[in-house]
Formats: sequence, C-alpha cells, structure tokens
Amino acid sequence: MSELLSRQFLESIGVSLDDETYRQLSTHYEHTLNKRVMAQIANVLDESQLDELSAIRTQDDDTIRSWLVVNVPDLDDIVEDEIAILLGDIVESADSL
Amino acid sequence: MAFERFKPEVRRAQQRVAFKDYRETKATIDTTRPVDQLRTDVTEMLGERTGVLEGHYRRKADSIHEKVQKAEHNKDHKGMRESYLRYRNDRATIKIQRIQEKTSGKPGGLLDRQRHVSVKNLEYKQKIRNNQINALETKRQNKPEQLQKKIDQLIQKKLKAVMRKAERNVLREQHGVRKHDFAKRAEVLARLTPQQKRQIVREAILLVRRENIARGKLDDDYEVDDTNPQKRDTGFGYERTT
Repeated sequence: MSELLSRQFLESIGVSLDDETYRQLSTHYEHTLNKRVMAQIANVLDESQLDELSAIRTQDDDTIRSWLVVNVPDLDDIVEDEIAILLGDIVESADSL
Repeated sequence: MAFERFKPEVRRAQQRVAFKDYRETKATIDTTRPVDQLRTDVTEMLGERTGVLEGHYRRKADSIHEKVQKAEHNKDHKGMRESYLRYRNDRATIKIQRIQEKTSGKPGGLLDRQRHVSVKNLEYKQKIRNNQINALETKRQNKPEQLQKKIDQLIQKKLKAVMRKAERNVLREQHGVRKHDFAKRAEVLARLTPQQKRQIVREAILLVRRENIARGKLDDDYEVDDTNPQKRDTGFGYERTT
C-alpha cells in the first residue's frame, strides 16, 4: 500500500500530512482496498472455488498466488480497477483530507 | 290480534272487574275459616288472575306486543342485509371515486402532489450537486496547472475503471456465469480473518505487478521493486512484504 499511497503521490495531488495522519490514512485505505478486492474476487468465484479458497487460506503465499492465477481469470483487471478507483477516490477527496 | 287481551286498557278493565269480584267475594267469604282454606276459597272465586305468574306472563306479552308493533311500523323499511349491501356499494363507489381523483392528475390530486414533490426533490438534489461541482472546480482551478493535469488524469482513470468494473459485473450477471449462493459467499468471506484477506489481496497485487512488469506496461503509479522484497511493520500485529 505504501507504494500506492506514498507521500510522494499525496504531495503530487496537493496533500501534505504529518506522520500520524499519514499512518492512519494509509491503514484506512489499505483496509478499504482489501475489502473491495476481496469482494470482487468472491464475486467471480463459484461455490466449490469458495470452499477451496476457504481451505487454503492458512497455506503459504505461493499456494495462494497459484490458486488465484488459476481460479480468478480477471484478477489483473480486478486489482488494477480497484486501485484506480481507490486512487481516484483519494484525489476527489484530497481537499478534505 | 292474538295478544289483544294484554293491552293496557284491556288489562285495566280486567283489573276493575277483578277488583269488583274481590269486593263481592270479600263480602261473602267466611272469615272464621283457617288462612290456607281461605286462600283456596278466594282462588276458586277469583280465578287464576291472582296466580303468581300473572305478572311474568303480562310482561312477556307486553314485550311481544311491542315487537309486533315495531315490526308493523318498519315493514316498509329495508332490513339489515339490504342496508349493509347498500352501504357496501356506496363504500365501493366512494373508493373508486377517490382513486380516480388521485390518479386523474388534477391539480391538488395525489399524482399532482407527488409529481410536485419529486420535481422539487430533484431540483434540490441537482442544486446540491451543482454546488459540489462548482466548489470542486473552483478548488481545481486554484491549483497549479501540473497538479490539475495529474488530478484529471487520475479521475479519468478512475472513471474508466468504474466503467470496466460495471461492464464485467453486467456481463457476468447477464450470461448467468458464476451464479452461486450469495449467502455462502458471505459466509466464506466472514470465515476469513482480516489478516487472511490482506494476505490474499497482497498476493493478488504483487501478482498483477509482476505481470505488468513483464509486459512492460507498468506506469509511474505502480512503481515497485519486486526483485527485492522486504518486510514492513504496518501495525495491527501483522507485516507485509513489498
């Protein structure tokens, strides 16, 4: 999330924050992005895939990565769109940050 | 009439006769006889009019007589059933008239009022929206040109992403692809802890970045040194790899 919501990026859209506010903002948007991407991933899965995802949730990163590649065909679009939407939201509300 | 004898005037006449009989009987009875025998004598002489049930039957007869009189008086009026039917028909007519008035769109009618409220509400919403757009536009114009360009670019990107997302959802729903039990999906999502969700999303993001690097289409916003991952403490008791 730090790369997405870096201080450089925020300054480029006219937002300068102190450390504490930046940390809170970063956490908030990370949580929001997680929620949105997970909702979209869950939307494209069928029941058996949902069971599989539930089963592998405690396994290592490689397993999860491989599973996502195989089972979520639009994964790249989903993630890119959600990031773009999130960044757009931040820009639109930059004046109230 | 069957109960003529119970009419007050008839009864009074009977009472006069009975009183006359009583006076004549009283003059003739032997007062030296015992009380129980005297009562028997009087009953024999005066008849059953002195019986204990006389009042009961009289009241009953009066009641029946009143009912008959009332029935005769009301014989030209409609009964309860007819009244109810008439009332029901009237109610139905009134209801239809009211609905017709409401839906006719006449000034002051329901449709007219609703339309007026809707238009007013839309105008109000439009006014709020215009104010917001004007405020944003003013703020945007006050920024340096380079910053304006950057903001516009990001907003355009967001709009395109929203469109793509909507298209994906519509296509999926229209073609019935990936239709499944929503309750089960929610249940599975609920079973995942926040950390697990973060882990899955992180993996997805990293995966996309790697693919984008490989395709050479990663733009400035997605700068990441994927070749040298490091762990960072992001708070709330978990670390993330970047």
